[in-house]
Amino acid sequence: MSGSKRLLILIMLCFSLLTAGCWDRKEINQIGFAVGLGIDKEKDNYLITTQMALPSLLEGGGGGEEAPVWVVGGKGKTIFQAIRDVNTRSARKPFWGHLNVIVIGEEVAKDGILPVLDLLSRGRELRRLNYVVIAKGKARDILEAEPKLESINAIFIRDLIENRKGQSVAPAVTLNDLMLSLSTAGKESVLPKIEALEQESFAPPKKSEGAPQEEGKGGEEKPKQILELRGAGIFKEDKLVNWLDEEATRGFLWVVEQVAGGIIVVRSPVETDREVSLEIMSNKSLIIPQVEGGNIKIKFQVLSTLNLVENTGVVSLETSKLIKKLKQRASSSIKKEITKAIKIAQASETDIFGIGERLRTQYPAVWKNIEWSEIFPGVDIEIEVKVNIEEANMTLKPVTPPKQRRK
Amino acid sequence: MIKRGTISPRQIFFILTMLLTGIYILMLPRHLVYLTGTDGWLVLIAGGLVSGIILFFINKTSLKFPGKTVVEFAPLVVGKIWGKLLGFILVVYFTLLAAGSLRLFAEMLKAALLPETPRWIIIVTLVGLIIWIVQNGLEDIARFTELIAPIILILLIGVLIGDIGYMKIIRLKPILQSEPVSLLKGIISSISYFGAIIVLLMLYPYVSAPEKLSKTSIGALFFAVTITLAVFMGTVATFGIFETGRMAWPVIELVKMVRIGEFLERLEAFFLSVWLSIAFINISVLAFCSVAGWTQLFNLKNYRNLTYPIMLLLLGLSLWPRDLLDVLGLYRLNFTYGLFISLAIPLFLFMVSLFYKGGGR
Repeated sequence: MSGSKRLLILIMLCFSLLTAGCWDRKEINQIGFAVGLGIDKEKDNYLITTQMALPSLLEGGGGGEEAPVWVVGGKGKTIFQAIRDVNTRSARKPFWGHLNVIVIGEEVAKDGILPVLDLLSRGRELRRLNYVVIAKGKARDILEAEPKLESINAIFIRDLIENRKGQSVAPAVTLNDLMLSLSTAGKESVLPKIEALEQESFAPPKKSEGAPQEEGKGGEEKPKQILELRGAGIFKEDKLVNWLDEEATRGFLWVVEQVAGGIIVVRSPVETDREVSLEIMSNKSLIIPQVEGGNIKIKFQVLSTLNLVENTGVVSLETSKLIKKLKQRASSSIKKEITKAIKIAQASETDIFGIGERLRTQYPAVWKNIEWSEIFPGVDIEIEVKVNIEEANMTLKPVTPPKQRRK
Repeated sequence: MIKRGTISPRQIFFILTMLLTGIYILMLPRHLVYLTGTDGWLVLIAGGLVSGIILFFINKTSLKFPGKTVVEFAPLVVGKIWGKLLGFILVVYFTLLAAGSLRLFAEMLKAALLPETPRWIIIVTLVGLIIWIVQNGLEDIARFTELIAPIILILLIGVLIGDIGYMKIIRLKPILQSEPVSLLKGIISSISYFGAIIVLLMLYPYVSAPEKLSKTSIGALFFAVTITLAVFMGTVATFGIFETGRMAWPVIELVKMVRIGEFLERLEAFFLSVWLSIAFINISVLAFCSVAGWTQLFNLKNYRNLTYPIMLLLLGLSLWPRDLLDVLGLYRLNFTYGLFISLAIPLFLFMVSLFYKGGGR
């Protein structure tokens, strides 16, 4: 190879470096990492709340008292205008690639979420795997809350969603899921509900805070400390129409095969004043549309495996006869949850289960000739629940005082 | 003259697979969904089958004229004037395809990764690189392809596996609900899509064992159809038809969904930088065919002198459309009328060459 050729190759190689993108370089100290996004509405304007991580406070633990996030907002006619409005207050341009959650305020949800989602689903930086939650009240309150354990609130919410298996009383919905349920014919959207509280929702109201208030902040509202992810909001098209409570939410999750864990508490079959806890191990479900003549009937089939984990009574239940009774009780408890979900959905006239989608794909000819949204509220839904109880525990009998021992 | 008979069938296999799955696959899901909704995969299979028949014509005809490209043997088959005209159409087609691929890839890179970089920078640097490898000849392109293709295929399969958790079969249903007309349009599109295999007519004389090529090329087509099918079905199963139809680059969105473990996300930058080599291979092969074709069309001795003017033409062509919508409009033209080139020409040549009794000139 001659010298000039070598030189040419060298020049070419240098050129190829250009395609690697120095032009669009962004130094890490020029961008602010937006980890949470909240959207509220005030009359005709959208209010954006972003939660930006402060990397300098995150590393090394030098932060001390200060929270490593900064909550800052913007206002605009469109979401994008509001987002750019943040730039007038933030010295660093927000970078959306590391967003964790999108919190939508209750009011925005009631007015319709499509105008909000368009930008979010177009974005180059945003991923479709971001979780979307709906705030009871204002989204800003959620992002300003200061829960413990996790110093970044948005990551706390993300973990809350990912750890929902403990109870399965809220769905997990990503932006992609939401876009899909909004665009699929015969399926409506459901979003988990999040609420910021001063204290746990079951706790009795406190008169005065235990810890001494920070001085000088007397009149101001203190950030809330508890975030609860329970229940769900259901949508008709893109508008929030109703809420599901925890029981109904799990009823809904049973049908869409998303119950990943949780506890079912049933009465003990022998001691009428004692309860038994059954842990949910798995959940399989089917939605079966049946068309006979012009009549449409729907069947929900739910199969679940439970594990006996707690018996507050003293009589051992580990006999096949009693287990059978437990199974019946568990399945009727599941049935009750599902029935509740169906009732709310039908009353709100919104097919959150995606029955219409099943019908459309299995009976396309039937689907073409019906108006599903008119049929759904009155459609007949049969529920079939099958329960297995596993007895794979470390312990076979409950704690029993000597006098009550039978065997 | 370009050295002939130096490319191994295996290299041709990779060149063809890359050519068929390379760039257009990034937008194909949207186009098919737009035409036929969930029936897109049926349409792909049908298009693949027809392309198999086209391939048969290409192989049979090319084997009758060993050592000659289509531009050289067409005049022998159908007479000087018509032969030159056919060659001209094909060479123009290759040139346009190369320019289109160049622009399309630049658009994608700009949209997904380099929003503030002017697109001419991307295009000019790529053209610079392509000039260099075309000057070096097909052998270098082939070797590079052989090296890089398996990596890219593994990556693509990895993306599909990585997204499998998001896929739902129900989104691929129902089937056969489209209008017959749109089904037909879809099939035409997918024939035009796989029609890039017509490039083989130009590559034959450069292969060391042409008699093995029938098998190799059918294998490559089958492989490419399988990959395209998998990508199409994966995209639709992940995003549903409506969302797929909204996306400019469905496959890039698919890549963006991949998450390895808890922390490794946003792999599209890596993916696109590997995809850069696919674009490079594709455009180089097409540009080579174009340059070689023009050279043979004018009976020139040395193709190297022609490289610069043709690459300049390519550069101009690829910068010509104003924006992405323009480019996509032009592609719709190719997907509709490309058929007349990729199906009609091999068929015509095959039919006429049946009467050709070899030997004479």
